[in-house]
Amino acid sequence: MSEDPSVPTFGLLLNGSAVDVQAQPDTPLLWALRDHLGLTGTKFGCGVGACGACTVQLNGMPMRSCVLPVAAAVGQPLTTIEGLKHAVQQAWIEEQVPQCGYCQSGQLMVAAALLDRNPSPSDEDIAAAMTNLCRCGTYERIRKGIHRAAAAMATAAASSSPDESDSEGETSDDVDAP
Amino acid sequence: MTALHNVSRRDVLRGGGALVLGLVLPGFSRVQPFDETLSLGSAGGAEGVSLNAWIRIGSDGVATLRMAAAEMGQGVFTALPMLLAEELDLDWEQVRVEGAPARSVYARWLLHIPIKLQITGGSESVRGYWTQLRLAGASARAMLVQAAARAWDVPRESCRTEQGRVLCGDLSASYGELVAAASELPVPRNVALKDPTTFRLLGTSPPRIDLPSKVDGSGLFGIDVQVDGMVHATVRACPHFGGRLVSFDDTAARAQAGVLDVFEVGEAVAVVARHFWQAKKAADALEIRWAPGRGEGLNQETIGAALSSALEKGGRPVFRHGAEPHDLSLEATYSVPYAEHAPIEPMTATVHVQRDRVDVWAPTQVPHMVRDRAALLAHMPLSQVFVHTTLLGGGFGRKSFTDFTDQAVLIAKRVDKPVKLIWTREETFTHGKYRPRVICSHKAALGEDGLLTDWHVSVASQNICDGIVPPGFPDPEFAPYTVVEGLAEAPYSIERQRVDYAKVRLPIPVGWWRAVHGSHNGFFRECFVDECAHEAGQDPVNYRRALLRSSPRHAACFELAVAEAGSIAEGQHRGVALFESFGSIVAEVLDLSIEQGEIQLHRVTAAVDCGLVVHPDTVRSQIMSGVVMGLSNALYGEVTFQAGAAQQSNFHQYKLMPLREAPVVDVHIVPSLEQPGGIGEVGLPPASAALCNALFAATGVRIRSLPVGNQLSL
Ligand code: FES
Ligand code: FES
Repeated sequence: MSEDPSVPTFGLLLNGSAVDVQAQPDTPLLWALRDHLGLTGTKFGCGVGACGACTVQLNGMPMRSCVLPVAAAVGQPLTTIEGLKHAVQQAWIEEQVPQCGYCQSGQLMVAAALLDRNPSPSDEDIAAAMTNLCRCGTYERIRKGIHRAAAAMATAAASSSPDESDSEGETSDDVDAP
Repeated sequence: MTALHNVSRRDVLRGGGALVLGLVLPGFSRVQPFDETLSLGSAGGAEGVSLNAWIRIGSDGVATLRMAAAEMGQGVFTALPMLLAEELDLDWEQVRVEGAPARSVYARWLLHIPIKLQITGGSESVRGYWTQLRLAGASARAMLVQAAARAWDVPRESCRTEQGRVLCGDLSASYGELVAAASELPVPRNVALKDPTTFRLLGTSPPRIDLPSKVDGSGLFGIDVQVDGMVHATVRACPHFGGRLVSFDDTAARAQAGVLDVFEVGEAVAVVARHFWQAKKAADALEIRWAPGRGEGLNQETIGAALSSALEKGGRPVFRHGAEPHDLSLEATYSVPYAEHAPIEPMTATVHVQRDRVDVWAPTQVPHMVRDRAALLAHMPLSQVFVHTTLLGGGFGRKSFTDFTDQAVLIAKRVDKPVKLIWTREETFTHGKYRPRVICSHKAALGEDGLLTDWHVSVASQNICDGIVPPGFPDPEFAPYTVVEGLAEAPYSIERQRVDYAKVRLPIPVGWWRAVHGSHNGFFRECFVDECAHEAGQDPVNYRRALLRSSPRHAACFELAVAEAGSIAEGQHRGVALFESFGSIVAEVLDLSIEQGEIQLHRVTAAVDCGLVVHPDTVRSQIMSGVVMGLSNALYGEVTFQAGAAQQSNFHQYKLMPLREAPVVDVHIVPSLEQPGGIGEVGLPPASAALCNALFAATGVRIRSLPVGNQLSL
């Protein structure tokens, strides 16, 4: 679809690649990702920052992209679910967390960001960080999934210490498997 | 990478892959004579050879199974393949799943209504497809065995099957090697089904098939559909139920960037733009005049008065047990408010109307209804309407209505491109198909032993079945009965009981909300039974034990929950409740405490008897899901009306329980070989009652009207 040349272009650092997106400056990042770039893993739930379905990571921090203008994301490292490669995804499968799955992209983006800055979160840390809504009520498994990912990350860190660095089949590699 | 991703998505939509299927769809008739004949049709698709409409096997042994039910979180994309795989002795690792098109062969008989539909609802998927799919699997297996027996020149009876292979002595062949020859054989008329005690796969919990696509963003929900050349639409519909669109000024809206068109569609204004955000902003700029019409005088007070006066006037007796209840001295009136389904995926559908065909991509629980309606609205023969069911980002009953898909068809008729319609959350909240507001009065008498002996229950509400039940369907018998589900035919031994129902007509749209009538009747009945126990000075657990004396299956389930819950922890308070719905019995024991003026939910111990279990882990997760939704709604869920307009427009006004408040849900399954029961909704009905019974134990305050909100001053 041809775009109006008067519409500005924004440079994003999306999932490790430089990507240009042409959109009105007030377009929320959510819609720039979904409609303009075709990355539909980030979901629309409320549009007012209340549900968290649209969460992405900007500079490693979880951000609700429905209330963040695309212009505010320019030039900063931005990760969406399509670019997430994290132990928490494998843990989500092992705990069979998702039900309908619609909220889970957002849940995973928050959980991964939490684990990256706090590798062994307590239940209280989890409750404080995980404010995204899930109508299917998967909360208990989300909590377990985060603890499981934390344990897997600790094991992986221990087994990738220099003397054991070549061990095969580390669990943390599993998440990168196709 | 992003580009690649897009291209492959679009290819899928163009017809390469899993979504665009079965492009020749014979006409669908609603009512068909019952037969168990397996389809001779083919499960279309790119790879593999079909053995019937459900099963296609590739030369590599990969089995692609067609799913006629929609996956909305309840796990059918795993449970239904298991039915086929069990009878067919497939290697589970080689099972793939794809959605079926809207087509008569994929319909099933509804459990309580004599019609055959392709519908996902009523917690009926496993029950409704139980025989159909097992027969399809068994018949395909027989064909593969026959093909092997012929090739090896051995009697069929000497062959067995295991993990996707036919075996006979030292001989062995994979299904992939046999499928071509098998597909040439006639479909066997009679096939034996396995004895449930010999099941190998059913009763185990293989990882859910749909989950990998739900942790990497690749799962395709309705809102994610992308079709080449697609534009976007959103609507502003009349906020007043019973009202209408008077006029609108679209000057400012049309001046917005990207706007392609603005027009009236029913009692709504649609904006079509290149991108959703442009459509949304333009819709915000519309100046619209609405007339509240019949909604004018519709507010909390008038609705309440309508229900109360219907109750006072008295309804129609719809259930009786024993003689007329008498000497009724114990009275209590309960109520629940309108509730919104609030799936996190808002209403959305993508439609392309072309000269000779209509395509609808939608997160729908009712693909064939979507098809029938689209054909009608677009004046297209049924055979030229193609419905592509996506994953549902939550359904809970809301997506069993076609209002949003109908509207998308009407909009797409005016646009020469594919159009994706997305309702904002505000539109979704204010144009729901709400769980009705219901009031229920109890009048009762207790016997000398304190047990409930005489019970007169009266219920007043709008009836969900009004206007939905197809013509010719026996509404009068059916509809009121379901309204009083669980109030009538309770498992308790009560000497004299009568249940009345008073139907109220109001212009507020009501619909099936998860657990439907169980969502309120569980609260009404199980809290009132606690009141009776309290009146009799008895412990609620022992009181129920006595009342359950003639219902051993319910009693066993209840005892399991009580035993697993153990003793109450110091400082905590307990509520119990029991409810049967959709063919399954669930007992819940809820422990809470009050901490610094806040309700702290600790644990819900649930026991479930859902007959033979297909996938135990799904049973556990669905009970957990029902409990959380039930508690969330009991604590916070309420839609109120002013001038016929819903007053809650987004999650800040309709709170959902967050992780912080969610209790641990500990689920125990009663072992059983009985017919399978439903599981998607059954965890919900006892939850609100267990909560309010525990709150009574903690505070002495009896909550008779939901939501709990701030009725307690803690
Ligand atoms: S869609 Fe962004 S928070 Fe709900
Ligand atoms: S898994 Fe359905 S909303 Fe969270």
